[in-house]
Amino acid sequence: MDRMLTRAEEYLLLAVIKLKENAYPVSIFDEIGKTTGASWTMGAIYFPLQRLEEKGLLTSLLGDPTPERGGKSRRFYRITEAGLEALTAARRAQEGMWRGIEWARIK
Amino acid sequence: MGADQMNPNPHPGAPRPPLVGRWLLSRLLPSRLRPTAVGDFAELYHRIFLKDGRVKAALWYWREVIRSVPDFFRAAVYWRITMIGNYLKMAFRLMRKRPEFTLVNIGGLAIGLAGCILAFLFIQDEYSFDRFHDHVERIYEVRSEIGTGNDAITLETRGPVGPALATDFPEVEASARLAGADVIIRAGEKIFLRKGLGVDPSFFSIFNFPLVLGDPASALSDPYSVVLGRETARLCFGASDPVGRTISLKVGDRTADYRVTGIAEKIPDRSSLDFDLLLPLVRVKGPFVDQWVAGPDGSPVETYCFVRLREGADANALAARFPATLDKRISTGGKPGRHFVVPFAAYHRGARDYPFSTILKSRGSPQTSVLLTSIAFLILLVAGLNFMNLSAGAAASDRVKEIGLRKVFGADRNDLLRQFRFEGAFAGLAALAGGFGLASLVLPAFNRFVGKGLRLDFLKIGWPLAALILLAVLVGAAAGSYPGWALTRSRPADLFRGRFFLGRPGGFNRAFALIQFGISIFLLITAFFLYRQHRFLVTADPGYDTDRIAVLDLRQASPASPEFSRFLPDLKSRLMRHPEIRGVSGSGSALNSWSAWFLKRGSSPAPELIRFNNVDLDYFNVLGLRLRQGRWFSPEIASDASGAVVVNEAFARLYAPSQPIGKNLAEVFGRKFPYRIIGVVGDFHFDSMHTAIQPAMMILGEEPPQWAYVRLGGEGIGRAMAAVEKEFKAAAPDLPFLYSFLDEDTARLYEKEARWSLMVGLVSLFAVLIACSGVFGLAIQITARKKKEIGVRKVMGASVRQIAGLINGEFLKTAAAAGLLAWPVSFLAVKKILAGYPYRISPAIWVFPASTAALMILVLLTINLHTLKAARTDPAETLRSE
Repeated sequence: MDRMLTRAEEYLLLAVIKLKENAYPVSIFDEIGKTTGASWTMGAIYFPLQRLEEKGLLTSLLGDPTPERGGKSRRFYRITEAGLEALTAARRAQEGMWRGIEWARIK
Repeated sequence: MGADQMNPNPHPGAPRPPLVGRWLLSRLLPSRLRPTAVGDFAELYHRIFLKDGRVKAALWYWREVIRSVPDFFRAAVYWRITMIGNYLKMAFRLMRKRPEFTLVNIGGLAIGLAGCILAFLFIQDEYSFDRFHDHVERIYEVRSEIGTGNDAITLETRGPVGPALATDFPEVEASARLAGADVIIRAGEKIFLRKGLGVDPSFFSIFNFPLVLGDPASALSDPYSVVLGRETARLCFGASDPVGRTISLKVGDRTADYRVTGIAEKIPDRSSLDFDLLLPLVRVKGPFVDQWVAGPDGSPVETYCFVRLREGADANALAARFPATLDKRISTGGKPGRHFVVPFAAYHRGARDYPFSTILKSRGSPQTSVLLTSIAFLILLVAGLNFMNLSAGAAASDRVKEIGLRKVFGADRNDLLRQFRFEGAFAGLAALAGGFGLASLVLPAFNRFVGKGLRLDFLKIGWPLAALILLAVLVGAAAGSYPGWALTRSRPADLFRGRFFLGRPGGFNRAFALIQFGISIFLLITAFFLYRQHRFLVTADPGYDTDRIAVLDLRQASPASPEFSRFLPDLKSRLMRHPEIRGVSGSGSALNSWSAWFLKRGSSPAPELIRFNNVDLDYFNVLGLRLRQGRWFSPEIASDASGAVVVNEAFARLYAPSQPIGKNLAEVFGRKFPYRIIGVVGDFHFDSMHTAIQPAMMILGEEPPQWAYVRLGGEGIGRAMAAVEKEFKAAAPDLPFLYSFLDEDTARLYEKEARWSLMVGLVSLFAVLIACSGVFGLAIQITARKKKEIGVRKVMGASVRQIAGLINGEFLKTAAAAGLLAWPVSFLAVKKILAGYPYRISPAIWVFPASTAALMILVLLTINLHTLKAARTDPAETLRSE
């Protein structure tokens, strides 16, 4: 892993893990919006998803078309071993950075 | 991915997002994302629609689409870059996989592009002639005109016209007069003949010929100053500084010492004006050049006159005002007062076609660039088609399985097409690089060919380089998209089974072959007739003998010196002592540069052009002219020495049609022309065969001869010439011995034709080779397509010959059709080219079918390299069960 995950990528990976079998852009969008409370655009999700997939941190497969989607398929995502490793590395880095800082003092 | 395509609206009950928004969204999305992302948006829309209704859902949809634009844009750019990387990798792999194919294919296109580059350089050069002069667009030559309409004849201007224009018209910023002269330089032991140009000091303020040494403002103000060209200076003074030194020059018949006041930089190749040294005008034209009235011998002094106009001045309107001030002054001489201007910038493109010009370099004809451009275009067309064809052939054999597999794995058709286009464009660029390499390799040969000093300088090409790159990319992409289109259209299952059609059988393929064959036949025919025309010009009887005749250049001999009148008779008697020398004759003008008179006939307003030459008694025999009527000059008849002329048939036809012998020409041209015709000789080409024979007359030596013709006999030309040289040196120890042979001089007149017939010949050979390699590719495709058919036929008992004939027949039909298409086009083209020659061959009809037959034979030889193999294949192999 030569490059650290961005915050958006981290969230996406986490959302994909949480959503288990049902991780596709709409549900990921819902999940991130709900949890972070920030306003995300749909478009902002695709690009990092693609990059993550290309780097091998995510895999995807096409599902069946459904009527409310105008007959289009969903693309479901699943995290890979490499994705899990990257997440662990990101978490370790973050904890390391926070170590020794007292929460009360910065507040 | 195909669900929506198969059924446009499979779920009519579901609410659909706004149409325009949906369309915009799908435009913005990279193709890979498109299906799922549109679905995602639709799903969210659907949800909001159910909760908050149509309006809110539509608003949300639009907001979301617009907010996503930057993200999508980023994604699109990112994907493009990744994809191009992948395409490059693929392209390299393919090239490495089939090196010899890559070489043939890209090499062919490279040759085509190299042709384009050379043609482009040639044309750029044609149009950049004289551009090194700062004010080239404002430089004009002023000329006078006599006669009207088609009969108008243009002349130089009267001497003082130049200065008068500069003082009378504020629009004329500067004027300079020019006159050419052969100058004999004597530097110590050495004698050179150089091209001199007599000019006004203002010459340097109109033209940019920079001086290495010396000051242009004052260089020619002294009446005996000279500016030497760099080469000439080196020749005379070696490495030492020549400025301030004196040099002995002979101009016309006057020898004098001149002081070197400047050294001119080498004249650029792209200059119409050409000179080895510059002199004050008065040294060339004499002291009467500044006088309005006629000079000492009664004829007015005329010079070339150039002006530089003020910016924005209308040259033609200005020229119309010239007579207002000039006529008053000229009136004493009775010179008609019409003047016009020729833009100097258009000189090289043939704006000024004047056969007697002594100051201009010989130029390429405007026809040349048209011919060259069309040839370059044809090469590119043939090479481009071939590139497409070979790519298709290769795709048919190598890439079928790859594409099939990628389709199975869900590759988008547009993606595949893009890849093909990219590969094509990449190959096009590689070919362009090769083309540049090739062009710079053959450039020296090409330069010799077209007689130019072209250079391939990447930095100086500028926008045309961008155009060439674009051209290469477009040709490559177009070539790549055709097999891509055919391959990606087929179903994967068909591809795996090797069933794949490049278009309809015979459709595109036949069109390719048709065009290639057609161009090949066209070029073959054109090359053949160009060759024949050149042979005709060289071998046709010019009406005089050219064999074993030496031409001696006597222009350096000074007619003013007392010995001169004895020089030629002395040389003659010395030479005639040698048995191998059959005859010697002096002549005032060399062949191909006879003098011209403009004579007025009776009441006709326009003067007529009569060519004339001063000859001696031996001219007739030495050159082997043919007598038609009357007699040649005779030493016994005293009256022949004054007032007798021998004319050519063209003259007799025009001016003395009924009874030429004894005709007094004063009746035709007025009392000032008291000549009587004593004989008529057969028309002969005293000019090159590029012009029709004009009326001409010969007078017995009134002026000193400038040239001598020596007719050699016997076996050894070398021995005879050694004798000529020995006697020449003995008769005139100070003169350089300059000679040439008449047959070589004559052949040199048609060098342009020799070059062109060779060039078109090579190009047609190249086109045929390319067509053959293309045909070879086609044969591979066709036999691949007909594998089963061939197998079945063999099983049914067809022989190898019958099967090969099946495929050959297809190509022969195409070649025949191409011939039928190419014949009329080539006939017209050849006719147009030949129309430029007054003496020409007539296109023989047999050449047309013969060229087609030749192509057919070559094509058969090529394809049978492959078809015979295919026909011999064991049917068991091709008919294996699937």
